[in-house]
Amino acid sequence: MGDVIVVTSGKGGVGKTTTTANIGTGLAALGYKTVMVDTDIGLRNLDVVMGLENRIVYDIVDVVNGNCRLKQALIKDKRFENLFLLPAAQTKDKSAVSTDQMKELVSNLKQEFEYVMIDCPAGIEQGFKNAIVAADRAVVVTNPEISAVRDADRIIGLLQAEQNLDGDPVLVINRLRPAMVKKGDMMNIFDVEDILAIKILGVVPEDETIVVSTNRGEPAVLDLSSRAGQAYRNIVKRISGDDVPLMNLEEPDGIVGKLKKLMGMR
Amino acid sequence: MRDDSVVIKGSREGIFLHLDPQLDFRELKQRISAKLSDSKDFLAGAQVICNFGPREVADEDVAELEQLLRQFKLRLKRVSTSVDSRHEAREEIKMPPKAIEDNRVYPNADEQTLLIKRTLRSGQSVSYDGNVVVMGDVNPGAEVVASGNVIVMGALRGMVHAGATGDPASVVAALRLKPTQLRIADQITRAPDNDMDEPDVPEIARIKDGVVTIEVYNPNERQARAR
Repeated sequence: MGDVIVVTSGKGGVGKTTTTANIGTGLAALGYKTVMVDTDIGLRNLDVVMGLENRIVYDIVDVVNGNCRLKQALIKDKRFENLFLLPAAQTKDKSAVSTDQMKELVSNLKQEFEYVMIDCPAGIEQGFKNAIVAADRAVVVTNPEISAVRDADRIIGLLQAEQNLDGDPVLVINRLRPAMVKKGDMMNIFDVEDILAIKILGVVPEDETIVVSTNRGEPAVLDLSSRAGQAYRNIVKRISGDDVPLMNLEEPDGIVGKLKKLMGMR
Repeated sequence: MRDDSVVIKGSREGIFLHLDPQLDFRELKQRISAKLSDSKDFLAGAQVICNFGPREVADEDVAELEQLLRQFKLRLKRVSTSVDSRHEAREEIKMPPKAIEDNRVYPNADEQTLLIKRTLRSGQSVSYDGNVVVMGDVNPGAEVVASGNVIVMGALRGMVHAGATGDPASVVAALRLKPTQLRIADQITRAPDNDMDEPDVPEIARIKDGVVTIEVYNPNERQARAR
C-alpha cells in the first residue's frame, strides 16, 4: 500500500505545483513507482510543468464520472517509466469532484503505487478539502514572507484537525533569498519555524532555473547545475528516509564577489 | 392598389420612412403627408429615419422634409441615401432572394456552421454538431469539438477535435496551426516533443492514407485534385 502525500499551502503561487513535480520526479528517479494527481480543477498546471499537456486525453473528472477507466487517464511520464500523472480538468471547476469520489480514487491509486503525490490548489474550499481527504501525510509549502506564513499557519491548523493525517505536517520553505536574509530584508528559516512550529522538510532557494524548467516542462530536480534542483533532491532523500542535512544556501562568491569583499564593499 | 411609394416601418431606433426613389420630391411630400395624416397622433413624438434610396438629395429637400415632419409632431433624426453625398449611411445591399432558395448554388446548405467571433480562452469549450469557424485564437486549455470541420482564423493553440462523431473526411485549418492536441474522427495526434518550429503560414490537417497529415493550406490544390 502506497504513501499518500498532499502538497498544500493556502497561499497561491508559493510553489506547490513546482514542489509536487520535483518531488514526484525525484522519487521516480530513485526507483519508486509514483503517481502525481492534479486536483486544481479549472486551473491545472501540473501537466504543463511536467511537459505532458499535449498527452492529455482523459482527466480526473472523466474518471470520477465513469467516462473512462483510471488506467486510461493516467499519463506515463516522458522520462521515467515508473512515473505517472493524473491530470485535472480544465473546462470544469472544483465542484466537479466530491470528497467521497476523491477517497475512492486515491484508495485505488494506493494499491498500484508506492507514492501518491497530490497537488493541492490554493485556498481552503472544495479543492483543498478534496486534496486532503485521503492523504496520509501533508507537506506545507511557504515562502519566507509574512502573508505566505500567515496562510500557512491557517492551513496547518486545518490539517491538524484532520483525522486521517499521521502526525503533523512538515514544512518546505521555498524561494529563500540568502542575500536578502543577510541584509535583514527577508525572514530567515528560524523566524518561519518559530511561528509555524512544525518540522522542516527542506529549504529551496530562489533560483532562475525554476522559470526555465517550467517553460521547458523539465523539472529542476533533474538539472545537476540547479541549486533549487539540489534542494529538491535532498528533500526527496529525506522523504524516502535518508536524513541529509540542510544545504548551505549562502550564494558562492564569484570573482567579483571576492573582489568586493576584499575592498570592503560587501 | 396599394401605394408603396412611402413605406413606414417601426423599429427600436425610431420610424423608418422608405421613399420611392423614382418619384419627384414634391410628389413624395404629398404622399408622405397623406400617409402620416392617417395615423396622425399615433406616431407623434417619434424620431424618424428617412431612406431616400438611390437618389441625390438636396439640402433644401431635407429641410423641407424636416418641416413637414414637424407638422406631424415628428422629429427627423437621420437621412440616408445609397448615393454617397453629404449624408451618411449607405443602404443595405439586399441579396436577391432567389439565390438563397436555389440549392444548386449552395449544395451543402443543410450543413450547420457555428461562427464564433472571439478568442476562446483557457477552460472555455465549444461543442457543435456541424462545422465551427473561430474568428480569433483558441488558447491552450480551450477546446473546440465539432462533428464537421474546424477553421480557426487565428492561432489554434488549444485542443481541437474535428469529425467528433466519426467522419474521417473532416479537416482542421488555422492561420497558425499549433494545437496542444489535434483529433480527427478517432485519431489523436500531437506535435513531436522537440518541435520548436512556429508555423508562419496557414496550414490544414486531414487524414491521408489513414494518418493525420499537416500541409500548407492551399485551396487551389484541393480543387485540382477534386477534378
